[in-house]
Amino acid sequence: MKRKLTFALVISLIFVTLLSSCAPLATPTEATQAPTQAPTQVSSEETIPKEPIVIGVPSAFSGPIAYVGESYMMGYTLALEELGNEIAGYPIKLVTADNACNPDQAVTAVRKLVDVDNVDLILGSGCSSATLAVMPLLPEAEIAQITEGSTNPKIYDGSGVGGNIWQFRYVPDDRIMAEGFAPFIAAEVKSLSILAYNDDYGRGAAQSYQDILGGLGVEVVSTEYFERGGADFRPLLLNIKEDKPEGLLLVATESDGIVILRQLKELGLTQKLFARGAIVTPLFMEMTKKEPGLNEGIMEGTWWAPGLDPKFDVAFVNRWGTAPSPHRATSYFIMRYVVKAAIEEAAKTGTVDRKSIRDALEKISVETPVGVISFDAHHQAYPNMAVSTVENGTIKLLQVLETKAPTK
Amino acid sequence: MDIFILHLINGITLGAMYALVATGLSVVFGVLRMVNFAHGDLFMLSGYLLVFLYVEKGVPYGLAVVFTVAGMVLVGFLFERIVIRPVVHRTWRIQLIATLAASIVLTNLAILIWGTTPRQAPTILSQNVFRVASVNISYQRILLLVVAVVSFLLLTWFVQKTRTGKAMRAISQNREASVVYGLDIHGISSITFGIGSGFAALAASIITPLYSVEPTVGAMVMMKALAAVILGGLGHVRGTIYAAVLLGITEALFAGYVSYPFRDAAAFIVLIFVLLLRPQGIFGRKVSI
Repeated sequence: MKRKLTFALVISLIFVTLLSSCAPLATPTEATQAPTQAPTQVSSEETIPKEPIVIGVPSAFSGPIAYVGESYMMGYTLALEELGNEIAGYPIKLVTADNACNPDQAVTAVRKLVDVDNVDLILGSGCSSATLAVMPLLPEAEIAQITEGSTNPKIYDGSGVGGNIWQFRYVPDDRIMAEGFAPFIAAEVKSLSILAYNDDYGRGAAQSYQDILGGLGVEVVSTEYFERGGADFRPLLLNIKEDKPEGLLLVATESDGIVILRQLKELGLTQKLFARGAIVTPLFMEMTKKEPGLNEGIMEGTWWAPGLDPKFDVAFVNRWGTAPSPHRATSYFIMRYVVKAAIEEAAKTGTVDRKSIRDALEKISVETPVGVISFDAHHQAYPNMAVSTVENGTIKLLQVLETKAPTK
Repeated sequence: MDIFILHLINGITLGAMYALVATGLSVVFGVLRMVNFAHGDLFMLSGYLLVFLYVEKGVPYGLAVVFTVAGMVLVGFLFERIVIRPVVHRTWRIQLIATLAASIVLTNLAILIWGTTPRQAPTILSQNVFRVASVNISYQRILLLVVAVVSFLLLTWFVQKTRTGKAMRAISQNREASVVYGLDIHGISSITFGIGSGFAALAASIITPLYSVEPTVGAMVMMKALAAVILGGLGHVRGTIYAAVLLGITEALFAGYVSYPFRDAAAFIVLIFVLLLRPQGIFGRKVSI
């Protein structure tokens, strides 16, 4: 009996381990398929198949924002499928690692990708705290990382001429975006509270807006922070209600944004709402289709909005049967244009490896539906950003803004 | 003063939420003397079942709640048979591993089946607000308070007055003697687990419309529920309920007046402080060896 039970426990533990390790890879597996179309005419030197280029994707695949990691994978997969799952003749293989948006786990995830999976390029690490934690590992491993969603300004300061030549960032950071979006806020309100994540993303964004809004004559009366995946935001919202600001800037993604906006309505806050994250997005509308109007009238300034690339908007829905979002779009643009251009550039040297990909990233300049993408001395790219709002239940693109290097 | 009352009301509703979840955990511990670390995952499964019935199948909310609770009572019976019964006589370490393993399996099954995008199930009650003076509270939260009070009264009646309830108390007090007297230990254990699971389902059915459900929601709920069970006195249901409300109020006042990010720390400082003074919890009985 004792042996049977022990055996059963061991088997169940093995089953659990297998299940937990394969779950986050459910989406990626589709992207790892080898190209299905063989070239019709093959020259003698092309008969030897090229070694696949392995790209690591460390992101949050567990925890309250696991859907963001899954979102990145959707964008990468769609782009790869459009590219025939190969770039410059090299099959592309995606490998994921879960960092749960946590700095400690982020380091482990990148070490696993570098040492075990032997990846050639990293697309990550999702959250600002995770990206900042793994940046010191990149020079040691001599591997380039293109960051897809971390908007903390410290990443700009430390990359390229800032010291870390292996770190590149596609999305504009919050200092850059605040310079574009803050005038829209200043045109509407003269006092503001900020409600942001209690991590490097939220704190970086809050600080950026505080710095810039002051110069535009907007008084930031309070700044409150909260954890991801929280449930009860009413104490914070009650304090903001007491402060009586004219406006409220919410720095959050869809999952927490929905709960906050629901409680904000419950408590009767009537402030003009602004967002920096993922609130005015088709995914938000899809998630709240049973309670329309939750994000009505909110103005958001971020790096993507529907309408910037209508072809992508349609292709995404057709492929996945769900709505796009900034995270789903940014990963698509990175793979479809930036990674493609970098590997093609690296292929010209005859060797595609970690170093040649890094060198190529410094050289590329590629036309995309969101502007020309190249990396400056701080390895920062400048895709266009968008200011949009929700009117009568529909997202309305107010303005597309060109981004530029921060002035401070 | 107004703001204090508002924070207090927040705390009470938050406490009612913790109490609903913790009650199921406490009932199971009281009878089986083991902590079910998968209780939060039963809560999560209940949330998905509600979303399936109410949002995807269009079942009216009230009926969806009834079906969710009934369905999860059955899941509770199954869970007891598959996970609990084989380890109930084993050491606490094996029980811990078994329920933790079940928790991991359920979380990953949820990821495989429903993905990671949070699901919403707003109701008419959650979208409408009762307003009097400066107090704003959604009808869903009022429903939460009413359901919490009624379900605790029903549970108390069940445990005090019915044959099954008395049998549960007997097993809780002396398992060996109950066996000698011919009580159906396995049957009562199944019913206990059904009740525990039913409470998790009731909690999820009322709470999900206020928040959302995603595969790891159970872990966060479980943390607070376990704190309430320990604070109230392991296995002491009434103590668990008082402790849950105390935790909710502490958390709301600390978040409102001191620091929101450290509100969880405040709740656990209260837990540590109480345990230093009364290691058996507020209502637990002192045991000497």
